[in-house]
Amino acid sequence: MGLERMTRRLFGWLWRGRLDAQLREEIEQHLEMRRRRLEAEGLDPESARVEARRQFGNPLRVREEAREMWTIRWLDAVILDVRYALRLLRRAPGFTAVAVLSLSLGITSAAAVFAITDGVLLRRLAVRAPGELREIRAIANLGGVVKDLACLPADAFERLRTGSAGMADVIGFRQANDAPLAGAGSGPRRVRVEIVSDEYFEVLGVPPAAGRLLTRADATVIPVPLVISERLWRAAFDGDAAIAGRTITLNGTPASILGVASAFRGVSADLPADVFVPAAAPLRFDPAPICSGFRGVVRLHPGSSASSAAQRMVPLFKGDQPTLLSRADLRVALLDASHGIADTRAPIARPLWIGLALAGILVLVACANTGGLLAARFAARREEFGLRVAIGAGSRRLIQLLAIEALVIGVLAGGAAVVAAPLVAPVLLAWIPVGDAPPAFELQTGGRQIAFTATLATVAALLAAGSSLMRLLRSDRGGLQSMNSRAVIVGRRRATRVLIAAQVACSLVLLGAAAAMTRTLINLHRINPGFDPDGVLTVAVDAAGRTADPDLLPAYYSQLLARVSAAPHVARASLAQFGLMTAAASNGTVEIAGWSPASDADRWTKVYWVGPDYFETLGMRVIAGQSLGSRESAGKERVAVVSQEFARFYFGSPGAAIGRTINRNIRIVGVVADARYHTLRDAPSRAMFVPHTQAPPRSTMTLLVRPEGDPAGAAASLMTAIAQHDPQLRGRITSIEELIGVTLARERFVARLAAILSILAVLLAAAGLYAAVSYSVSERRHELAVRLALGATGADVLRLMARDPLRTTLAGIAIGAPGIYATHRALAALLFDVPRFDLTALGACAAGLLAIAAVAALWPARRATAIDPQECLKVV
Amino acid sequence: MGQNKRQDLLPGTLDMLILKSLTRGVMHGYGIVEHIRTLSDEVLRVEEGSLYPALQRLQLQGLIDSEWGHSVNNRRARYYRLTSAGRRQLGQAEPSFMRLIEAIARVMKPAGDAR
Repeated sequence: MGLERMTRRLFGWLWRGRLDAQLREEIEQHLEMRRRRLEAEGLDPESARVEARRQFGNPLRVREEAREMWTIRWLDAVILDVRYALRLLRRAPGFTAVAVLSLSLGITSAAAVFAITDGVLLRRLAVRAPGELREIRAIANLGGVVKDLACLPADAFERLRTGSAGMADVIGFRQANDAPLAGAGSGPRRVRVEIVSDEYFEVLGVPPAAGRLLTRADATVIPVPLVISERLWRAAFDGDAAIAGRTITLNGTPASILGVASAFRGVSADLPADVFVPAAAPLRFDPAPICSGFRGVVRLHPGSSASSAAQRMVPLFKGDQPTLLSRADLRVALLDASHGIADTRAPIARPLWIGLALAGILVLVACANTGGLLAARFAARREEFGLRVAIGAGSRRLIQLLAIEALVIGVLAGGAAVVAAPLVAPVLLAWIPVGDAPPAFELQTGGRQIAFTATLATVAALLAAGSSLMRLLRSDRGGLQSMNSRAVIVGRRRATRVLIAAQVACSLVLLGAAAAMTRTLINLHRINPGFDPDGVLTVAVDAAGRTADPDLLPAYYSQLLARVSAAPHVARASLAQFGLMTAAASNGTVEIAGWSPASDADRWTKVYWVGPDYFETLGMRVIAGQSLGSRESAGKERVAVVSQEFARFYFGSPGAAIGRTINRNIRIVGVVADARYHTLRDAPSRAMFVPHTQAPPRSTMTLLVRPEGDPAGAAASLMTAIAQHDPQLRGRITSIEELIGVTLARERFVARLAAILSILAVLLAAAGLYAAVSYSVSERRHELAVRLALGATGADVLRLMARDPLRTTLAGIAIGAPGIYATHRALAALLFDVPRFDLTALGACAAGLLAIAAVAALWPARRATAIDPQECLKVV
Repeated sequence: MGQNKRQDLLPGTLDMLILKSLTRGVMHGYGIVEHIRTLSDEVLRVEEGSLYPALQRLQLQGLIDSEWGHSVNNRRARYYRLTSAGRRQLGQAEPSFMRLIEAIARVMKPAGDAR
């Protein structure tokens, strides 16, 4: 009943214009009827009209009383306030621009960082019940070394699929990057292809946007059926409604488009795909997918738990054939996949939250800044408020007025942020590289982001209005009505000081974060990686299928290496199983006659299969014995070079390791200085370098090339040499410096973000300080004129005006210093070699802030010295 | 808010009178005033300043409904009628209202009957 009443009232309010007009007509008619009645009783027309009117009463009053029934008073008041606020803002465009700009700077930064956080961490897959999805990872413990396998061999995957029926539905996929697609209206392009198992779309429950999606029956159809993403549909096919049945060419093979998947780009959140093909389809991709089996995803049936499903999978994994997997101590983990699979997500998660927190601090600075502006304007409107109080406004009404004015500014700032944040976010995202591929988490401007921006804008606006509101509440009505009462002025000065100090403190915290991260980056770059990265290029090549017999691969690579070494602009070249600065490594066990390990972990060492001239190409220093040189011997004596840490751990010193035999027939011929192979933060580890010819043949290798002179020229001649060796062989060239950069991605992201945020904060704080001093100078004009007339010098006046702001800045620095300590604690995981109480950084930041504050304060203070006492003190 | 302070009658009386009048059929505002005046032998004269706010209030409460029509002289007039909710409300409130009136009458009886 109450709801019905409210609805009726709402409609009454909406139609109030019409209701009022109807009532007026009704009253007219009523008067008319009365008049005719009086005429019928004998009065003349004129007297009847007057009498009728008299009997009726005041129509206006009647209308007003009737109108009370349907107005919603508070809503009317709010609309009036909003219109008043807009009028005021229009009349002071400068003030409006500055207030909106400073608030929107803060909100846009926070919204941009949130957009990335949302895209990377929060967004769920556009499938049915994403909470039921889990990623399958096999964790094999090979005696102390834990290997985390995401790529499951095809046979193991098949066993998992059939064996998990009843508990879970298993699907699998692998990806091929850069596959050429031709036949689309917009010309040929390269796409990422997701190669999927049979029931992929059925299990995931993705709705089709057009046509239909892949099913079991499509596995072996010719021409190859495929599904495209909605994004590709719009970009390459113009959203063609007749998309189903169109034929295109994928990697040279004709294929037919079955349909379009709605809002779905694969299960990999950081590597979104645009084309989906069945795994059984006869397609060969070049470069081949990184995973030759499947990455597994399960959908748990309601009622079954992840742990029991995982346990059921372990024996299915191992199977009957004795493989590495069946030997190892295997555990299956089912990780949450509701946000999509992203190996790159874990390292970025913390930096993103930190970035969001830092952006939040900038929002505080913006709030304080705008708050100062609002407070200054509030002080100037004392008369207006006094008048309002005099004609009967209560505190609530005034608070509503101030709050609405602040909210209007908030809406404008929020609107600007909604427009600007999607433009800024991709720039920030580009600072988070994802391995070798460019970052591809999808950013969407969705309801969640708009809701975040709107909430933030509202809270920020109200915070900014906070100081004005508090002063309003505390001041008595009399104070509002009187001009220049001392209490009011002192109150305003105090509020200004607090706001300035808050801005300085927050700026200091941001500066401290930026300084700490910059120092970390400098420290990391100063680390001696143990090799000379200058200009070195790495080329990852995949020779799968290029030789008739896998046993011919070593010779294939040796020939390739010889050709590359002879190429122009190449000083030295070598090859290795894995490149440097990647996460990949092999592990092996160590057996030494007469030595027994203290623990299982002691038996393990990293093993690197390398080509000749490896150490020379990389510039790694051989500190004892000799390097592998050009030894290519296969089948003859087996040799190895070990790392300094290896020698120290097993034999006590580098010299003692030379000539010793390990693993029964491997002789150590040299010891090389410790180097960092995976990230710059690595501790020295045990490593063994063995000629690649003594290893089982592998199809993927990394070429390492030290250029002579210009690296660009070397890169070109490198590609020529590879093409001459084998035109079908494709390789991806990167420089080691780039790879090092990738390992530093997190630190760089936070450092850059902190730097930009701190610059913005300092600018805002300086602007706020400038405005405050400027206002103070105009306000104290008379006082300064008196001082100048009484003999004060320009320097005295400057000192007077600048003293307060500088003291406030110092106070802000004092408040912010503990904040820097707290920031260090939060950043601890990212910092490197930065002391807990970094006094030099603190001192530098504080000095910088003081200098900027001095400039911001003295600049307007100079105007004070130019006051002409005679002019100012003239009595009008 | 909206309670007419000029109304000296018992609270809710005017609403009751209007609702009861409308049981006789649809009427416009002037018709309701005349109806009450006539039936009460000129004693009860409803002022328009009270009538129209009351009519709006009753409409908002959903007890009466209005429609524009043509009066006997072919002029536009707004006619009010009782809704089923209004009828229900009247049926519930009327007995207690009548009891109240009788109680007042008993209290106000001429002094001669008192013991």
